Amino acid sequence: MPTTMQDDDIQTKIDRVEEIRNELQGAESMNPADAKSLRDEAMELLAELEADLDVADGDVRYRE
Amino acid sequence: MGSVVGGSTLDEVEAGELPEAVDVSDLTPVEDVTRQLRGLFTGFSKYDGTYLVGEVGDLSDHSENLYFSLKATDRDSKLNCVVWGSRRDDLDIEIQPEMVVAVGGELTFFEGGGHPSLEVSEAHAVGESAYWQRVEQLRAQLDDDGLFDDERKDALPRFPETVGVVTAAGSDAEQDIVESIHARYPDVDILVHDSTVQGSGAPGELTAAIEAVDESAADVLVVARGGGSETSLRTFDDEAVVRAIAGTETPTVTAIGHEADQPLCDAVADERVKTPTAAGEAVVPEKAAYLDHVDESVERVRAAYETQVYRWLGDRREGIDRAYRSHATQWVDDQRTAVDVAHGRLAEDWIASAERDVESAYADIATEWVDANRTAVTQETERIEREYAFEQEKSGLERRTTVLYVLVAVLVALLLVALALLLGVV
Repeated sequence: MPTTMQDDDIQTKIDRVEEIRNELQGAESMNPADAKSLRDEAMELLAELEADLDVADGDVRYRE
Repeated sequence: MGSVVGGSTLDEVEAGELPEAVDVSDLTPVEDVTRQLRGLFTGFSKYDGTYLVGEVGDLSDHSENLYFSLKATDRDSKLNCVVWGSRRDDLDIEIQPEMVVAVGGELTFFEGGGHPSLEVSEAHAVGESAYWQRVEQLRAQLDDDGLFDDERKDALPRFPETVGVVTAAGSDAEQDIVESIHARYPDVDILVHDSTVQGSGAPGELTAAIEAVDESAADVLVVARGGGSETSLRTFDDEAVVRAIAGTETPTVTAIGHEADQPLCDAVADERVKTPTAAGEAVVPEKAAYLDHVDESVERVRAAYETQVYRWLGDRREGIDRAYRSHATQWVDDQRTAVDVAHGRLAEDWIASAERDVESAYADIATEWVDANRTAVTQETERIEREYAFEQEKSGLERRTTVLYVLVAVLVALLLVALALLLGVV
């Protein structure tokens, strides 16, 4: 079990955001509609990412 | 003392070299002594069937034979030992410096070295050494079983929801692990499974705890205890504990003792950290860094988007301006051309019209003028015609007069010639 699903999900989102950022920064010229679509996707991913990072409640439980 | 005959060290002695009180017969060559000492040892059965216990020292492994001293641990006492090359492979252990061993063999006297020597035929590690010998044997077995292979080791999850911890509840180790995990990632759940970590019952409890956490929802397992004496860490060399860690489905981190301690558990765990405090860094990322990354990404995406839009708008504005200017220029040029053409046509029409008007006006005026001046013209014409006729007539008269004058002159000339001729004749 090399990674959890959570790992994959978070990494996928991080990678996609990086991809979008590079696309927006690197494009010579881009239609504002396409740019907005990419920006909206990135913002949505980042919001999800922020929520994903709240993995649990920080409880400490004990078992005998 | 026995006498010595040829081939003896005594051959080196001259009688005269000795003090008067000493006779050659009083001398004994050393080889006689060592030979007799060796004879004393041969067949000396006092230690037959017993094992001599001592610590290995002065180990020399540079020849086929193995030489070492068997030393007392608390006093200055030792016995030289040798393992002949032909017997080295028969020993159960590999003799190491400072190892405490029980050795059996034949006690002899080594004449060449002038000392007693034990020719070792058996050797066994005892005490601490025996423990470490067993550990090394277990290590070799585990290695043979492939439990140390890197290929079987799992990567740790980057974002575990639950971290399982097997350690003594309430210990410093537990506190260090919980604090180090929550300092880096406050909302990770931690499942602590209490277990005795030293003593005779520890291996069983640890094994059960490891298996229990492995079956729980924990994404990663930390097996830990704080530092202690070397003997207090031996639970983590226990084969059952080691194999339990090696057999978990859950990625496992060991955090046992301090840096110098390397129990067998460390070798089979997916990752080893030096202390319980270091466990947090191994099993969870720093959440704040990820949140910073998210914030930074939000700003960068926003900035990149705005740059892209402004660039696009700028490009379009410039394009529109350029198209507008081109269009306007073309339009003005077209209008200018049209005006020129129209102006040219109008001018030509106007000139033609004006010319017609002028010609018409001129004709009218001329007609009127002609009409108005016709009489005068007629009169003038007549006068001119008269004057012309007079002039013609005058001219004719002048020509005739001239002819007349010429004729007169010719006649006069002829007369003069005639006169001259007459006079001449006369």
